Amino acid sequence: MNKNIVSLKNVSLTLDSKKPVLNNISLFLEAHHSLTLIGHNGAGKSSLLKLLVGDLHPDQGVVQLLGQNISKEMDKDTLRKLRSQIGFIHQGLHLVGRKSVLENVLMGRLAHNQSVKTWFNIFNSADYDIAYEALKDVKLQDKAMLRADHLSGGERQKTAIARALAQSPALILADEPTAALDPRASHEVAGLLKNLVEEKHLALITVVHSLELLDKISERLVVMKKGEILFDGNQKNITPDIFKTFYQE
Amino acid sequence: MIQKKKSILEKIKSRAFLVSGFYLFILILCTQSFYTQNDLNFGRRPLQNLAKTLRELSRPSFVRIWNGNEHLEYKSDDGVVLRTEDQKELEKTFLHSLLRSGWMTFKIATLGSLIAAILGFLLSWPASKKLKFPKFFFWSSNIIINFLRSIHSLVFGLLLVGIVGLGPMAGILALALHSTGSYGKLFSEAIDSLDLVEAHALRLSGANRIQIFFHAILPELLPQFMSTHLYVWEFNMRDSAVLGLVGAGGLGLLLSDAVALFQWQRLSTLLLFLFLLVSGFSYVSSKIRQELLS
Repeated sequence: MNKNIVSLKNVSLTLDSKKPVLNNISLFLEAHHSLTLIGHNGAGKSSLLKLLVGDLHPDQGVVQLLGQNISKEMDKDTLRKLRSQIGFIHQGLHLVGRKSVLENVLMGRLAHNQSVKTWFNIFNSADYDIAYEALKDVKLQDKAMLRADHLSGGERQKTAIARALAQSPALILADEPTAALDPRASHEVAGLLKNLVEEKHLALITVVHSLELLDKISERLVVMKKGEILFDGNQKNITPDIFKTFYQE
Repeated sequence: MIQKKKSILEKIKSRAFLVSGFYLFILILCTQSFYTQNDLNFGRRPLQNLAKTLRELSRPSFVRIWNGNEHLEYKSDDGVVLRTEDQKELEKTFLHSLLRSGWMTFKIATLGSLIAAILGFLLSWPASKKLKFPKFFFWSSNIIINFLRSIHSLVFGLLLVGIVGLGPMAGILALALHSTGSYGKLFSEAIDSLDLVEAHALRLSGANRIQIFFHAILPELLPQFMSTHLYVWEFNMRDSAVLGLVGAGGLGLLLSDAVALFQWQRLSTLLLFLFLLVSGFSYVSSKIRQELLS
């Protein structure tokens, strides 16, 4: 049986610029495992994450998630179901600012509960339990009723993590989850993410830009450059000097 | 590089020069046209007229409630009393009708605005550039919005009085028609300024379209829509007061009577009442809008 939760085989992707964004890359990730993606801007990291949620589709190659092929032809319901199992933590803080922290976390339940009641913010008690549990996981249960735009950057990112957890996901994709945070909050959020993923036996793909954070998140490091995978291995062997070369033109 | 920046600056300067030159040309053209047709004059005795009007307006009729003559006699030239008038009682009757008309104006503005808000809401979605509706819907909704916006409610009032007869219905519909254009425009601009990242994030988490609308789009838009509604409603209070001039009910009817009969003191009372009504409404609505948008 294939244990890979993520599988990209010989994937190439070209966007409007006609310059390949991803060039014949292959990447596999087993369930309950984590990897960290690094690379300079435009290396193809975000595009790779978008391929995994069917937001982009490859020109060539096969993208498989949880054992299912993701393609343009896929019907919407199947794609929605697949997406419901992936918690995506975005680069920006994509929360609805006017809504409370709890309401934002409950949005993670939308894909699982498609009842008409959810249009009017009415969720069942199981959804509330899951959302509250997710808030406890990120230690934000005391701020559940605060409006999301009244939170600090770190708290917002924790809310985004709680929303991803509320999806009861098998895989979490985090696109630069610490980009908008100060160093202290970055370490806190990275540590929290790592602990939660380990505790709940989830798979995780994170994009970060800092060597110090690599240690906090996962052992496996994948370095991308100009749409290709430059390195895929244990990050323990990466010295600051080697790290610098990853970002050289 | 510096050369390039300089040339860009030069271009901006020359464009600004062109635009201001064009504006100046329009100003000169308008003024000259008025001047040659001798339309730029203030009448025969503007200052005396102004002073007289101000004198009349500074004595609003409502003070007669307290200091009015209860036995004001109108006599003929030879001293025969033609009729007597109780000014206090007369003013009370006028103030009653003022309140009734004010209430009517409020009702016309309220219903007209609500109908317009609903129609504008429906039109604003296809009219928005951001949502990329099929071209037919985009253009038709924009044409309807611009058409309705370009015709003043007073003109709609004149037309509607001929269709549905004198009375508040003509006023309600006139306001509704014109304001539908305003709401449609303002709502669609609010939609255009919407950041769709939250909606995109929800889509990627597997939520369906209607859920995305209710959870990521409506919460961001609703406060703006409510604020716009209050603003246009307030604006319509002013407009509906004038609509009575064409027989569409409300304060305008009293305004037109006062002007036609040269009752400047009553006009003064009317204008004061209108000022209090509109500024009171404006104060409350601005407080609510502040709260909504904070």
